[in-house]
Amino acid sequence: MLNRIQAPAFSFPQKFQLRKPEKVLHGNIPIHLFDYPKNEVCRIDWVFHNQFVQGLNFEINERVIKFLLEGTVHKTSEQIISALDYYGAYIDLKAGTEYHTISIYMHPGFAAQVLDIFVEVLNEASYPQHHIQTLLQIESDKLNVEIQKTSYQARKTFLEALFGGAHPMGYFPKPQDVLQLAEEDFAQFKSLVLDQSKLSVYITGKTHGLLEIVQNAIDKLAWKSSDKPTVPAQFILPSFLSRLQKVHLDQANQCTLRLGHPSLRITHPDYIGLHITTTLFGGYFGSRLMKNIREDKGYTYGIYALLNSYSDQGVWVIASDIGKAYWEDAIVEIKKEMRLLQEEKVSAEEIHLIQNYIKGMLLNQFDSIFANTDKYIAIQQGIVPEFYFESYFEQLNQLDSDRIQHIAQTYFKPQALLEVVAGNFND
Amino acid sequence: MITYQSHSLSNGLRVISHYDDSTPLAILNILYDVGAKDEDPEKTGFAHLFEHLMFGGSVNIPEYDTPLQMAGGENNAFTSNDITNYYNQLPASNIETAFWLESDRLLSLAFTPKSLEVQRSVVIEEFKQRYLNQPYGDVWHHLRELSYTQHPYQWPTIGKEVSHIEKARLEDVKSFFFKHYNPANAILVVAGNCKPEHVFALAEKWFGPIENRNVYVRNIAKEPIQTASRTKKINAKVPLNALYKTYPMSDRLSEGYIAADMLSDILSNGKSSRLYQRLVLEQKLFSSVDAYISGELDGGLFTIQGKLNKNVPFEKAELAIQAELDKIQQEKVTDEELHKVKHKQITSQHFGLLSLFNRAFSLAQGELLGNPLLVQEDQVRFQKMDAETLRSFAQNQFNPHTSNTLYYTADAQ
Repeated sequence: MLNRIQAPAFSFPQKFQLRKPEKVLHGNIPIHLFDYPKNEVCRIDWVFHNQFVQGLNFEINERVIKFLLEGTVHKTSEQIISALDYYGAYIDLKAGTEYHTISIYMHPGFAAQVLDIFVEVLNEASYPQHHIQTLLQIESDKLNVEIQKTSYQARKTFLEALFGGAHPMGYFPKPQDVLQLAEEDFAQFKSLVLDQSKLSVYITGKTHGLLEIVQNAIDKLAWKSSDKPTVPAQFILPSFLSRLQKVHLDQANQCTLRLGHPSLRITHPDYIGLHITTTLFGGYFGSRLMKNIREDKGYTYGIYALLNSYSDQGVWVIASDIGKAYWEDAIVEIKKEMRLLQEEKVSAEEIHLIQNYIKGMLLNQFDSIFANTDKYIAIQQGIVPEFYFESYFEQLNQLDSDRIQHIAQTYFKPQALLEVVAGNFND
Repeated sequence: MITYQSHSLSNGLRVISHYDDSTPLAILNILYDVGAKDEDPEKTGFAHLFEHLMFGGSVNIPEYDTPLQMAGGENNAFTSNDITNYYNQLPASNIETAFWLESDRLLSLAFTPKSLEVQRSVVIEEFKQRYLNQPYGDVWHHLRELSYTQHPYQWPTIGKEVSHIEKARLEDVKSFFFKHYNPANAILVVAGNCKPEHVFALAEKWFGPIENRNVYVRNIAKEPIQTASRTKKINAKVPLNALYKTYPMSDRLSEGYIAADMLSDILSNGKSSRLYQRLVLEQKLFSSVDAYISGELDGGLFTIQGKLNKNVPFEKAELAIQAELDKIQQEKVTDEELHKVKHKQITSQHFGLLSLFNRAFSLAQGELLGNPLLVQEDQVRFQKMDAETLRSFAQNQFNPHTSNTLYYTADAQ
């Protein structure tokens, strides 16, 4: 008779290792190759390091980087995109807080043709004024839609309070600011991208024959020599105040909650411990917060606790969209759960669960060939310490209830939270 | 092409195995042939609410998620108008845990009142978060009601209204389960680093003993062929006016479906597409515009939607869309356009199939329609389409008598 009560046996690998690429230097530019010869596709990432050296900030960079593809001296945006489409290629432009990435997805057979287009775009991007004005209007209209969302308002208010409006992470442009982006903003961004001291290249997929094509492209790029070494900008963070801050939105049907405080950066020795404890607390479907606020009370569709590390400070935050009638009670419950982790030891069973769950996640994260590259880039850019994933695995194995309690007592601050609620408080 | 082997159990469960030894992972995907179209018009949102209840404990296992997490797995599920799909991803060595959990909840659920009470409340919050608390969030409630007069596609999977979910009783839940959750009504796919013989043995072990319950015979009203265009106007607190047009599509398995897919690519896939270039950049009528198809099995919708720039009247925007639709019916698309959408489709297929889940789901979806490789064979048909055939399909697709237009008007603020 089949035993349906007893779970089948399961097992895990004993350790975890990130796959490393082959590395080639072309001049001073490192090129990394992750070869997966069975695949029919490839991705080439052009990564430009950016340590907040620019006057431009994250919200602006995110928009400005997209305009690189919007016209060159010789081609309109339609011609550029049509040419890429013709080869079935796709260029993804991503501005990050610490590095910007231009990713080219394509069939490796067309790499030479596609990189020719890429080189032309970077060398000759011209930001045609009339066309750019149309795009800025569109961006500004989109932002007008965004700012009516409780989730946007809560995020903005929270990050402004933590970083201050002058910081790249704390500045949120108004729709009219977006409209006023001008040539110098684009030029500044372009000079960053054409600074070869900041570049590294990563090739993932079927890499056969691609190295030479990439080297050729690098040689054809019109590099600007940076006359002065860039110094990372220094920001003074506002002193942290715990308080309740409400943002009223007439049309809101629900409240967005953001609760949190400054926390550890990824380089801190306790970061991984806090990351694990935060996952147990609110980072997965079986977390304490999900069990209480969603599965027991039904106040929300989802609630999460996250630990984010930025270059100036870490941020510990709880986020949820919650029924209008429940937000006050939800805050009480969240604090209760924080104190519970500080006061009571976690059971061996729950520790075992979080260990296995995170091990599975570490493996599950690598469900495509590009995921490994993404993690590797973060390490190469100095965002994630080397051997971070390996030591995460080790620390998981050593986890015990004393350690979790100690971490919660040291780094959870239920009495000193910034509490942001965006919603309709009229009725 | 995705390689696979298949096997049927005597209780009617169809099992498909896709073996890939380059990954340490495996996915168990189970698709049930039940969706929002199987709901009572007075009890809408039920298939989706039920999807939530499937995580509330089964007859032998009090909780679904914890044992899966213990084996390093994660799961998710979604409901559409046609199907309900559940999947688990975990280290391949632990695949049996997924078999154990999935088979127990097909055997029977725990049906606890607490689970119903909580999930009802969670789904109501989901309703608010995704459909009411977002600008334009309720648009598909209006569009479905306008586009379908008889067929149950006239309501979205979340349900017509919150009150339907509030009124759900435990009796309804039980009868829904025994009506639709049945081995013969399900397709099981295991993809990843598990050999087919292992997959089939585990399927026999865990699913084999579940008896074949009465198979529900679907009897759904056909949507009558539309003979006159329909319009609707609504006002809401949103920043911009928005225009939506839908046209009923031909059968999912017909050539017309492939043509519609291609037409939507030519009109709006990417920034070199027609609608973006003409209506957004040149004529500056819209801040965004999109054309896309939905894949409902009994006939989906070809949708064109856009947000109007300030001071652009609806009439002018609508005429501009019509001009593009006229053009694609009257003139053949250029060789370059044809070439472009075909190349793009090949690359996106290759990139899409890197994902293990996409491979598993594509096999399950295809099997539901009688051919596991359907999705890929569609892509071959897409590559073969020529400009003249496409033009003639466009004439059927954009018949003006079958259009449904929604004017979503921004209240003055």
